Amino acid sequence: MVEAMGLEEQARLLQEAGNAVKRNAFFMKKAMDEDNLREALRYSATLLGELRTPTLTPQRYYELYMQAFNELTHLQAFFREERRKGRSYADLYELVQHAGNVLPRLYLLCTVGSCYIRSKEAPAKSVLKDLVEMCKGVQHPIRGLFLRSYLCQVSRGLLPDVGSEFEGDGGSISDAIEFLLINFAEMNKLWCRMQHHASGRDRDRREQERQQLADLVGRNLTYVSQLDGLDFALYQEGVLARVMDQIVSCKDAIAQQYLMQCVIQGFPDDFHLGTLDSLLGILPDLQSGVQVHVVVSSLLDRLARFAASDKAVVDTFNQVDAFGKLTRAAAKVTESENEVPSGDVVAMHAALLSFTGAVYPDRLDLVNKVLTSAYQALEKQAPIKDAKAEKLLVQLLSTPLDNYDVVTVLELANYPSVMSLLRPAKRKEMAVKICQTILRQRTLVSSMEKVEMLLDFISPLVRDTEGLEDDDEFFEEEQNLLARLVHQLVSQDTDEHFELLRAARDRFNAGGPKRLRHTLAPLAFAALRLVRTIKEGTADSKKADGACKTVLQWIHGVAAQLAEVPAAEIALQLYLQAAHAASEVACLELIAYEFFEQAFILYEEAIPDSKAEVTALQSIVGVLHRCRVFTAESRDTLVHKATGYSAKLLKKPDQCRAVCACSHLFWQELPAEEEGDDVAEGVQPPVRDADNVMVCLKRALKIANSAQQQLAVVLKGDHTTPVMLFVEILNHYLFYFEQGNPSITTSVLQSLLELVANEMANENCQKDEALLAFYNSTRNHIAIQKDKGDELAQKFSSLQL
Amino acid sequence: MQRLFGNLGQTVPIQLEFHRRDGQPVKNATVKVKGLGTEQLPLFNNKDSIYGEVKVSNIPGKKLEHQGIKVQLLGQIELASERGHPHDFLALVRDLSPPGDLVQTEKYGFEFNDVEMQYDSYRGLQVRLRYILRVTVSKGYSSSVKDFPFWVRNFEPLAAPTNGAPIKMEVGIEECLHIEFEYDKAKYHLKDTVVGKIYFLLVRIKLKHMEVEIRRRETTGSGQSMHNENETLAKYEIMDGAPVRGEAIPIRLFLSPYDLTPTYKTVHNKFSVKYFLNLVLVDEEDRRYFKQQEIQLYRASDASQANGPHAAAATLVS
Repeated sequence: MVEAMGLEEQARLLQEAGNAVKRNAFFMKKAMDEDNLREALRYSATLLGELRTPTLTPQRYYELYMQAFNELTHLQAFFREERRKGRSYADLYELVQHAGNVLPRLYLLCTVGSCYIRSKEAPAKSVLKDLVEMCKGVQHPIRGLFLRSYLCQVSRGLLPDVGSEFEGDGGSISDAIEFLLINFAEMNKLWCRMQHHASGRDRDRREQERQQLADLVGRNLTYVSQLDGLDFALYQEGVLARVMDQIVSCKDAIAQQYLMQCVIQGFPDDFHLGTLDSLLGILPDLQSGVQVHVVVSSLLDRLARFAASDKAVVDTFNQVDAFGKLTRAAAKVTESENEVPSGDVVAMHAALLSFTGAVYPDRLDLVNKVLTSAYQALEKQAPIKDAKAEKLLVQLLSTPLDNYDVVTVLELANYPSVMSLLRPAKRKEMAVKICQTILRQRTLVSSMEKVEMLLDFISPLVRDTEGLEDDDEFFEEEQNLLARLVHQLVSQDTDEHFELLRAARDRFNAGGPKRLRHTLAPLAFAALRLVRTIKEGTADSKKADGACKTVLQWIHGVAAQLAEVPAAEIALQLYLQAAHAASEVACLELIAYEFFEQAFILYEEAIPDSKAEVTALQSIVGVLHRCRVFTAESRDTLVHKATGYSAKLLKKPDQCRAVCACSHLFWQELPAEEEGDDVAEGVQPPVRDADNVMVCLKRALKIANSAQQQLAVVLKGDHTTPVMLFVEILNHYLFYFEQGNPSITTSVLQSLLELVANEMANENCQKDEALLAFYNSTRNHIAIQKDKGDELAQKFSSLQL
Repeated sequence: MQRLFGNLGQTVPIQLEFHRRDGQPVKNATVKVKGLGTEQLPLFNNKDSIYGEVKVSNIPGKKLEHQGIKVQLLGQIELASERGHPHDFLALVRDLSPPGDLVQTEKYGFEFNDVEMQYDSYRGLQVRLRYILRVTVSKGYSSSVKDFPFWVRNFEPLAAPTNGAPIKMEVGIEECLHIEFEYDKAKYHLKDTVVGKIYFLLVRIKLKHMEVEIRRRETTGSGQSMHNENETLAKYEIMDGAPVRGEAIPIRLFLSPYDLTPTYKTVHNKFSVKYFLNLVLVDEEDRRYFKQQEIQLYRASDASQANGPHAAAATLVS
């Protein structure tokens, strides 16, 4: 056996042996030139004697073999020459067997044998049979493998294949098959035997060497597959059975692995389809070291490609129940051996899944079966901790997402159970992926069942999962996904749509406050949109009102819940939006009022700081300004309250701005022209209370003034904020002026303009670029209005800048 | 020799030519001479008649006086232990000329009819069997004697394939190595092929290779003085590497390349020659395990070997 030996040493040995080959080849050729057969044979035997070396590694041995191989082609030519001179091949065939050493003798025998067959002096089958039998004389694994691979090589093209010139007297295809299969079996035995020669220490190296030699063994099968006369019947009866027998009986994992692949890759697809039972039946008999999943996977891949190439064969698939057989085989493999690594099981099912996808693109039930099978196979090992298996499982779960749209995937009842095999973190990743896919594909989920299913699928996002710490970094991102997902829950039918949202809310409730903060708002907004849809889509206004009321009530609940989360600011916005919808879409005054009431309560009780107050108040004013459903009385109350709030703000500039904003509560836009007379029921005429507008604006001026004084007190005279306020107020004035508010006369405006111009003259103001820009824009605006030449321009014309 | 006894008498150049009655050239046998390659000798069979012509030359002008010229046909067995004292098992004589004077070169024809030459010529390690024609020109104390060797081979008809059952035997070392070997016949002619198989029934030792040896045993003497001499004539490797249980290794050994003779049993009560096939297995520590098995060899007549060249084709596994 080859002992561990340095590379240099190997190279040196090869060099020496190679030189000996060259030397003897030289003398051999010289003898050939002198027409001395006996000497030529003697030197060729010596040359081949170099192949008896026990010390070279397979790779080095191969190099030496190739050298000798080249020399043997000269010998073949020489034999042909001898034949031409009248010496019979039978004679030569005997003569070379006088060589005393078995290895050179057999190389020579194979060399003559190939010429012998080619000459047709003897039937090909007899010579082949003799050669393949005689080669048994070499039992050394590496030497035997190379000898037999030489035999295989030189007899190529000389087999009595159908249509070959050697058929007939030379034998039949079955002789050809017989020859190749015997050679195969013998080579395989030698190959497997290598394994036993290795001590534990050398095992890795030995296995690596065996892998290098694998193709020598496999070549026999390749040649069988290349026989023209090989039809299915011959394959099934004559080839496969024997190959399988050899595979099982050799009890060697490396060989089994390689040979199964060889068979699967080497023979045509339709053969496989016809022999699925045999191919799959053998799997449980393979050694535990065999990666059965790889075998099954490659079979599946081949069949899948086959199906893809020709749609007609799918019928054949059905006839032989290919799917059923493959699934059962997969299951059996996992059952038969307890120790199948989870990664392998997953990989196998992944292959099965892609097979199913390729062969039966529209058979979702089969996909589900595969998932079931995967779940059953892996159930005991859950959760999958092996990194590879985990990765593969994620891939497996991703395959349907890529192949089908998500809604289709939602029909796979076993999808979540397979997901549950994953560890929580991975499960969540998977859920994220599902969400992303839905969002990317803009898929709408529109039935109750599917929504429930979807929420099952993505449950790790919806609620806490045992054993999983939420990662703050990604938590918001994930919840945002969920929030976006809410908008994909859409049904044509508004009732059902509402049900979908309700269902989602029920599930979201389980997620706890930290999730609700993110998930409730989108629900409410989706519902608001629904209100609009109902109103626009329902002819029967009473029915629409009823439906809207229900939805709005529900939104109310959602907002209230959100307020308790607590997320007062969002809740307040929600109330306002709901109020607006109630007012402008549904025209339900009471409900709108109720929403405002809740918003005000939140404003008073739950808004935490002054900044938030400012924002909230602006929102309140903005929404209230646009609501037209309120009667004067209720409007008064609300407006009063809002103006009250504005006066109570802490900072003067905030107060000032808020008061300005409040002025608009008394001045609603006139309805657009096209709305005309067709005003919806319950909509009040726009409020245009010029006096109160004026009151507000004056108050704003006053506040701006006192802000200026306040700054002067604390010696912050260089501050330009009050001037900014003045310019802002000026803009409000201009707005109302243009709107035709009777209180804003040219003179009032003129005096304000002068006031502002005065303030702007201040040195500090001239340095404040933002302020300057603002002021200049305002002036430009006036100038432009003057130049317009319409009615308004006349009003403006009297203004002096 | 001639120089040593040169003065004692004048040596007479004697020549002998073998003839055949039908005028065809006499057949020759190629015989190996130890260390010298080969020599060509006239070849005869048992019951052949031996014809020839003896030519005794004389130096022209000189008269050679002699007491008679004769030719003897001798069959001798010579043992190494008794060198110089061959045992004649056959002695025939023909007088060629009565005593007289030889004035010029004379030719004398002779013939031995249907000579009984039942033994083959043989050259072994410690024994040889030879046939010679000895021409003697008697001249008192200094006779001129010259030997002319010839070779005798006897043939047997080709044995029927059924003649000689195959040799089959199971041998082994307990718990270590069990093999069964099989040679297709027990009796082979000299151009025959030994075909056989070795079945490995149990292999617990790491074998390195296996070979078949052809061994020859010469036995001389008998009883107390019996002596055996063994010689390995051929080593033929039939297996390289270590087989495993269940393996069957083919043997095909062509006998023709080797210098073999038929098996001889108690030739004239002087010696025997036996042949053995020795199966040798060598393990990785170079220990040798062997089993020796006698085979009978015989010489088949050329006619009966007439299946000649295509005999080799028949040696393909059938």
